Amino acid sequence: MHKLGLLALALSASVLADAGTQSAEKTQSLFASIDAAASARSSRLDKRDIELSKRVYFYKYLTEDYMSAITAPEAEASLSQTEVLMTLPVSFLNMGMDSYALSMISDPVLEQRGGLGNSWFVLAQRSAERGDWEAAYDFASRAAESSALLDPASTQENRYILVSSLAGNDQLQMAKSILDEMAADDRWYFYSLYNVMLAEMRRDIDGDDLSRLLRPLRKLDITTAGYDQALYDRFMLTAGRYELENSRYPEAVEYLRSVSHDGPYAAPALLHYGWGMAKQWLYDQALQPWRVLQDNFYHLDLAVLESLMATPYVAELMQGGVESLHVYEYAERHMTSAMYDIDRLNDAELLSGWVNGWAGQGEHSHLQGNWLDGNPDLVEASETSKALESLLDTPEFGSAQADLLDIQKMQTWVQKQSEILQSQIGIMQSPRVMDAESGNATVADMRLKLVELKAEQARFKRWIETEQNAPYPYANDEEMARLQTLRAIREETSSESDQTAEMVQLNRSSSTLIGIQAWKVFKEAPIRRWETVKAYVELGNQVNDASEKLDGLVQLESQLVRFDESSDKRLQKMKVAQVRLSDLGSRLEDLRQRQQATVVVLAEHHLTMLNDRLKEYLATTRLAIARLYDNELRRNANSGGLGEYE
Amino acid sequence: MKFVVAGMLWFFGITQAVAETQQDIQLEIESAKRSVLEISNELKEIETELVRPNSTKASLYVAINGGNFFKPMSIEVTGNGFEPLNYVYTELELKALKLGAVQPLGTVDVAPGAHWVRIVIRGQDEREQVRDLVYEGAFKKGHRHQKLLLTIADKVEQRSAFATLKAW
Repeated sequence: MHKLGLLALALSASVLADAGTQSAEKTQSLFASIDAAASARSSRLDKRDIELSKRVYFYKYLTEDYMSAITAPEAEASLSQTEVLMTLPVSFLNMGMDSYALSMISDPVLEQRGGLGNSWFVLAQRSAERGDWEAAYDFASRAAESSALLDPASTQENRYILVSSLAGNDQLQMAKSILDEMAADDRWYFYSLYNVMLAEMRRDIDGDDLSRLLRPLRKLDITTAGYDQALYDRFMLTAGRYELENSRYPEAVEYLRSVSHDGPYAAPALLHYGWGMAKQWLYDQALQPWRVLQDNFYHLDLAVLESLMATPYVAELMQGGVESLHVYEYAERHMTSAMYDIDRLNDAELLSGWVNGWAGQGEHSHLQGNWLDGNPDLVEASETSKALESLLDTPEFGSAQADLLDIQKMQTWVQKQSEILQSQIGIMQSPRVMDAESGNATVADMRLKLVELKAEQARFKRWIETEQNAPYPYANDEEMARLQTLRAIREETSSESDQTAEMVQLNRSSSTLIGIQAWKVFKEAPIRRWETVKAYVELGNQVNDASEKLDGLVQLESQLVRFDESSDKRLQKMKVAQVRLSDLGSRLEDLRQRQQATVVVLAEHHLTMLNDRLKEYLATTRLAIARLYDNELRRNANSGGLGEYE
Repeated sequence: MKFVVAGMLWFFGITQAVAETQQDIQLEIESAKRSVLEISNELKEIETELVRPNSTKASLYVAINGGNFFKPMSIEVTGNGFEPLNYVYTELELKALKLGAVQPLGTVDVAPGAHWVRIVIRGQDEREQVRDLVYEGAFKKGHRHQKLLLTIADKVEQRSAFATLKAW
């Protein structure tokens, strides 16, 4: 069996244990597998290594490189540590491996340890994104427990999830009590307030109460932290639509009027503003925003399409009968044109090209960080994107897009790894640059050098020992020769029986010169001793250095031998990995095609929905045209055939 | 308004059907991700065996102790017997380091024995002036995987910082 990473081992073990069992058991087996595998490995490691591994894990975790955090060999030893185990579910969640995260987090052993607040919170976030508010409430409640130690930075968002879940379930009192605990200084507070407002609307809040609820918001400066124009517009649009539905038209118009004209909610606000005016019989003022809509907004926008149907209806109310016919015909022409455009765009091949357009723009060279980070900015502002604008914001599209991008990231990774592996296999199979023979020669040279150095060192040692007892220590050859010559002269001059005065003088002079020469030697001796000892020490360093190098070479040589011995096995392992990569590549290509088809189907359905709605509008418009012609014909007939045809 | 409701109901039906298929694909994607993790680990093992035996492996780690008087922006490691290492920091990485995490800066191949190393950390002092913090010294590579920790620590009394390099 291949030597896999600890986490991969645990995942494999959990999958084996999981075969045919329910997820709760899978949960336990995954946690138990990671804990057991990590404990077994870390027990062989030094405590300091585990500490380093833990700090490296947290570096990768805190820099949001979740994949590296759980797979990097240098972080692996820390996976059995409680602090690390607590964060593993978050890493899994951020990699889109929700079932593994849920498996771990539901484990009773891990749960008992507490401190899982961040994991529960991410699960709550994920459930809220999916629209599963019941589960979101459950997870957020667990994250909010004091023992869960939720990161303070996430507290507001967690409360938002709680408020939204309760408000969605019409438990307004509880929702409001949590809202009161929230600081009104970030977007989560305003989002919570919005959801509370929706819940109040479901309970038929009256106009005055709604106005009271919104009054502080209307006075709030849009530069307030967490509050901006788009959020304000959303509050006003929703309030306006609510008042419109409740036939409180002046109030509705007041709210809708305050929605900015260049924000994301401008189109629906203009549409409803027009309806608010029309309901008050202010037909001229109703037509104005619809004209703005038709002139300035994309012609396939839902609000524009509805305004096309509404304009002739109001024109008929204003002008009555046949006078409004040209407005109906104008609307019919535009609707027909829009239907033609939708039909043209609703083409599988064209939509597939559109998906390829934005999916190919992502930077997938590194498989790290959040796999789930779908990038809505990737979708370029093409005609198709404009037509699908209302689809792009939906959770279904967001999730499908994120999945497609994940698959493509994995495909890029597989391709890159295959290339690296192929090149490594190529190197393994090519003739060696450094063969065993040249390696042996280098080791032999180093051994010879070491022997020579040691011999030199021994010679120095002997010399130092000898010189310590020498009559003239560290005297050089020239000095010794001079001394010997002087000594010979002195002996010769002293051995003569009949010494002349000159001989005596010579004898004395040689004795004096011997003394001077000896004094010179003794004077130099300490310096010479120091230099000799220094040279001896340096030689010792050289010997040590050569010895270390020799050890290294010997080790390298033995590694090379072992490497050679196991190269076939290693090559085999690499080829197996290559096959696995290739299999994974095929699986991913199949998945990509299916996922792309899913995205295309979503787009097709959206366009079909637009088309169907347009058909309804068109049918209504054509019926109105027919009715007007019919009425006019009847009127002509009743007046005796005299009419406009004359 | 009734068209809107009808449209929404119709669209909801469609998305429900798509969601069921999507759930199957998501399970397969999760399974593919598990395969990526497994193969990734396997490849890392192979790479380690092939490229870096312990006898030539030296890893440099970076930690920040304090971080109040010096904010690193980039780091450059040069020395004899190994390839230079360079790195530029992001805010997120600095935040992680200040929280006590340790950055694995890189692993180099070096022969056993003594090696001279020069590390230049470019950053900003507390007055946001660009400064170079320099460490020069030697480390000795043995036959085991050598782990070296570079710590950038505060020197509180002088309101500055200094760097140390120690074997882990």
